[in-house]
Amino acid sequence: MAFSSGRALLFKATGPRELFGDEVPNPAQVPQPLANRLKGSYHWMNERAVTVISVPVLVTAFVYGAQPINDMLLGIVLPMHAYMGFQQVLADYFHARRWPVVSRVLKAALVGLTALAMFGAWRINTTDVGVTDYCKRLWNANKAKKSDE
Amino acid sequence: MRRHVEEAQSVVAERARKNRPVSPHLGIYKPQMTWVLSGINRNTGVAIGGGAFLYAASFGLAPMFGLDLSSVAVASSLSAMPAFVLIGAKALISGCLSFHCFSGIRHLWWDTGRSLSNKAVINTGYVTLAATALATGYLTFF
Amino acid sequence: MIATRLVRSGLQGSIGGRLCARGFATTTGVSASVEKPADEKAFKIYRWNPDRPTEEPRMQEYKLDLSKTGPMVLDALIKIKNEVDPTLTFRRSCREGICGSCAMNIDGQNTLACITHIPKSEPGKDMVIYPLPHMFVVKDLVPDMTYFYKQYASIKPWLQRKDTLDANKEILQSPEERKKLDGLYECILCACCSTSCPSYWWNQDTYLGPSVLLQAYRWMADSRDQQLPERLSQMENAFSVYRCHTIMNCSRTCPKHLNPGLAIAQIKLLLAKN
Repeated sequence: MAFSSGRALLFKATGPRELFGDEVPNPAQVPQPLANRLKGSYHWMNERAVTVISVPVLVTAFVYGAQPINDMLLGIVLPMHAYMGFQQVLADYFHARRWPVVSRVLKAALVGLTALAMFGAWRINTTDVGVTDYCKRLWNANKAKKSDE
Repeated sequence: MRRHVEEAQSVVAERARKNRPVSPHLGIYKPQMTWVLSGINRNTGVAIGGGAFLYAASFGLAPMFGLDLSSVAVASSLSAMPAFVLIGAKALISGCLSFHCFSGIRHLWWDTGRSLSNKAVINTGYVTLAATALATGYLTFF
Repeated sequence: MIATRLVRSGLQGSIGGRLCARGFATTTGVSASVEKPADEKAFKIYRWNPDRPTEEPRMQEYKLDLSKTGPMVLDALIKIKNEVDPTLTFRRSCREGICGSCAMNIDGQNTLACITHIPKSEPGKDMVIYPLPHMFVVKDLVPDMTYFYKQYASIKPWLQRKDTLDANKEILQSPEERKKLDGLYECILCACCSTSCPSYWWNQDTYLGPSVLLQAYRWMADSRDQQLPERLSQMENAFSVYRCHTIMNCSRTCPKHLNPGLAIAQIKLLLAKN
């Protein structure tokens, strides 16, 4: 038995043969995409950054109410966060490897919908009372009814 | 002779491999704080994000179709609806939103490499649920 | 060596275990009727036979008298195979939680059958046993692990040095450097964590999964390894590591009480810092 021998077992640089013996599993089938930080760590950091920024933006809206600059930020940061979240959903369930056509259609639809949503938020900010007060009015619709009676 | 046997075996093996079932997964896994809360986080995110996207997009497109989605118009048509519908909708929306927010903070905290022990994951899960319940109650009724 | 064998044979007879189980059964006060065994428990086990590949998988029920069964789930499986149904197929080897062969889904959670106690019999509480979730089934409780091992090989789980080494010289490590490997090297690659991970269920062709990523981190954290940049750049894509959404089923289910979720978080932090 190797481990009960008195000689100290030297930990040398090893290779697949030392580890797996004669039957080294062939990793060729395991996809190893070219390293791309924009799809890897930079993307991950961008996601976290957008999420971190959305915290004070939301807190401001809830605590201080409508602020013009904050309303603009709400209409940009939250759609970006939602866009990145939906991208993850598509990558998890509708990936191009299994649904090449569907995934392409959904990706394009997501880009279009995100742009439209940002446009809509901008319209609310410029032609109506702003995102925060817009939500407030709809939210308090049941109270308005009470005060009418 | 041996070659024939081997061939026959490989045919059987190939047929079996093609028909191999995938073992059951989501339907049989024990519900646990870990994946249940993760699933709720994703579903609430999709619900709020999807709802907000569709609403904001229709606000942007409303003039093209001659719809009036101004805050005054929508608020007044909402106030004509029965109270229980409005309260229910508010509870649902605020529940989804507050859970996703608190859960998001939990995730950001995790991303710094903290509170990832089993005990911490369970405890922060309960904190998230309690905070969600309080926030939902507050936003719905006050 | 001989002493070890004696101890082992004693354990294999599991006299102690049986006595314990019997004592336990009698103190629970289950009335021993004549026809029915005193402590009967039903085991519902996933079956699929590759010789009849067109037949759907099914659940088969076996009833065992717990007072005559060893304390662990693996004891029950072996008893069924020995005494009830020799066609029941499962992997097992060490029966002490160090080989990882008997990993399976027991009562909804992935764990090793050999170190999982059979809970005492309660009416209506059957034990349900499935193979590891979302894997191709070879037969009954035996999943196909080929791709899992290929993924393991793909992270080059061995010490890589750029310099040529003197074969008779050790590469020294400080106690602090060595300590970083605790909680990582103990992994037995049973795949309980990977197959508990929903991300691995949906994307196991591209996502490496918690088990392989824990090992990837084990080599990133090793002060003697000199290929950290290459190991990290292998993770720089949308799939290998970033399908992880910190669901944390992995750490919850690990039968060795390791923390693959934490290891993946460390990989992400390393990637962000480098």
